[in-house]
Amino acid sequence: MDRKQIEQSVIAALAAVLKCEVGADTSRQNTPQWDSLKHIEIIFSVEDELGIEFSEKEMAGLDSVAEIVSRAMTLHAA
Amino acid sequence: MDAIQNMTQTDRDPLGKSIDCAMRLYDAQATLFAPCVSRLALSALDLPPVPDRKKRVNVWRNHAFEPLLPLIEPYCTYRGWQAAFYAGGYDDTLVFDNRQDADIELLWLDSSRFLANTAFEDWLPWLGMRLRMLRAGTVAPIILATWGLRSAHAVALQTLADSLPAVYFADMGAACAEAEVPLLDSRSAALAGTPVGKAAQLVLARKIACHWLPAAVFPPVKAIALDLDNTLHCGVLGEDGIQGVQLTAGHAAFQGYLKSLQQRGVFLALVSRNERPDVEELFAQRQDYLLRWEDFSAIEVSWDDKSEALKRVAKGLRIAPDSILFVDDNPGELATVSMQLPQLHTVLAHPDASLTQQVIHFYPGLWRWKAESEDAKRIQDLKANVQRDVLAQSSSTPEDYFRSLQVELIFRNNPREQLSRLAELCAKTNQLNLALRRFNQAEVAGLLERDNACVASVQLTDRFSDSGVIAVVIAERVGQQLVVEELCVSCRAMGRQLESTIIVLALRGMPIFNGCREVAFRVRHGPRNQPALDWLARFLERSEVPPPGLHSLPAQRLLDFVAVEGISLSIG
Repeated sequence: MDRKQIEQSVIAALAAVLKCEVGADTSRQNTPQWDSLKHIEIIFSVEDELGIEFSEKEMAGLDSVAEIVSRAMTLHAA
Repeated sequence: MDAIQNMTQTDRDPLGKSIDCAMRLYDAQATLFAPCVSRLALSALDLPPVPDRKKRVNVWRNHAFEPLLPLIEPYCTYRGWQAAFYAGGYDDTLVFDNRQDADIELLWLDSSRFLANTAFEDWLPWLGMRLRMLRAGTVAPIILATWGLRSAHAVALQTLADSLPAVYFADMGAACAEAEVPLLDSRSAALAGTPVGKAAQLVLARKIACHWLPAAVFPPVKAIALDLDNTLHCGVLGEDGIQGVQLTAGHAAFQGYLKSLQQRGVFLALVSRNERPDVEELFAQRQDYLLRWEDFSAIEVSWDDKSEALKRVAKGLRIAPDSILFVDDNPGELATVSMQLPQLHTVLAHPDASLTQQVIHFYPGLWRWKAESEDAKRIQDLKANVQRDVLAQSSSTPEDYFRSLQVELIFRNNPREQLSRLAELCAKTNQLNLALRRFNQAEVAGLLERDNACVASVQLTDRFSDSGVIAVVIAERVGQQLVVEELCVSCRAMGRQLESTIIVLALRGMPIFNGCREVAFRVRHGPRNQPALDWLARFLERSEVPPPGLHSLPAQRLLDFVAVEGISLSIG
């Protein structure tokens, strides 16, 4: 998967969970729906869709589409 | 406690007053009941809103329950109800602070938090003490959802739950082992506040919404009515012929699964648009079919309207349509039937029969906390009715009939060992149920312990079958009056001219009947208890149905009552 495909998957996951419009610049700061409960759903959904596992330490801090995509790219490449 | 879920409400019926709603539910089956559920697909489901049919669940927890909420909700919506969860803060001490009445009390416990510092042998009695304290404060069913660190722990937790009325052990470890997913994941503990892993959350959410909660509060599904073509086999009998229809591996497994349900006491009915001789011939010739013609307790094969056929099935099985789950591969047929019979449960049969099996396996109301021996008697008892009818026609008098049938009634007072069956009768009996009090297991357990109350059960046997416990009568002594607070006679025993004998002898045999001057029957009118009202009107020698309230008569009337002749009476 290239970056574009991963970004599309992440955006689709966020849109399904948050039930709102999501773009490449969506973050926890600019999206009130993205609360701590939704964050759990987002992280686990992205993991399932991309077949990856974020580390215990990094999961809580992945609070924007850009950060999730970057980290997913690294894990996918590994 | 705080509500931890926002509810939407509409007055629409999700089971299908509109075809659109019904179709959306059938479309969702593949996502909801996939062997491995996708979290994202679950989030993306667009299900029709549910009516205001809400059950309050108090959650007492020492780890997070919230991550499961969005996973539970679609399953409740599918079944047409809302679970309103209320949870306080994390509490390892289980003080049950600020408790409000609820339909279900759920203990959501991370056992490892206790067992890190305490031996299991020390924790178990403490947990039992806390459960007893909660039991004393509420009559709602209590679900203990936790896990043992070893298999012996799970056995001990089950034994503890079994020792208390209406307390059920939801073994989270066993549920995840069955689904072959790990229960625990340290990553989840860090992110979600619960050690329950992400795959386990999906498994447990479905288990909670489809098995554990419905089995505690909903009336059970008693029968599965099955279409034939493209449901029990692949193909159309009328077009492909007896040897042309295919029993795929999935359909063979599905038939085996249905047979196991039948052996557990779930009625099977066949409802098919076909020529009856063709279908009989199919079952006679196809020896590879696991289901046999005689496995069906009701058979409706004709070109008639299926909703009419299902009404006849309900009548023949002596159950209400809301106890029947109808499975058909034609969504239009299902939607039409659910418009005609909105109480009926419907499931779409998929070309992949393993998915149909999975949907039925998880259909709320079918799974039970424990298999009751009474359930297994139901099917044999219904079959025996045919033999009883033959005997009735050849008997010259009712006394002859009872003698040749070798009818025996066994009366028991306060039979604690029958607690779950007695509560089941209170919950399930709709027709000959006079007071409709619907006492649950905890309430019946409380009545069993009271000196001024008595719970009587009646078992019915004859030469053809043991019908099991078919009646419960609960009365309370108030001064010189005996107040009958609950009176339920199962439909298994109805129509045999035994109703008055069962009821009067049960009341007369109660220790609290001695010395009372009056007997008062509590009456409530419900949608289906006309037979109970008619019985009381006859017994009171009134021409009209008694209105709601208390209806008394001298106790002497009961003392003067003469039981029908030809039956054997005993005290168990």
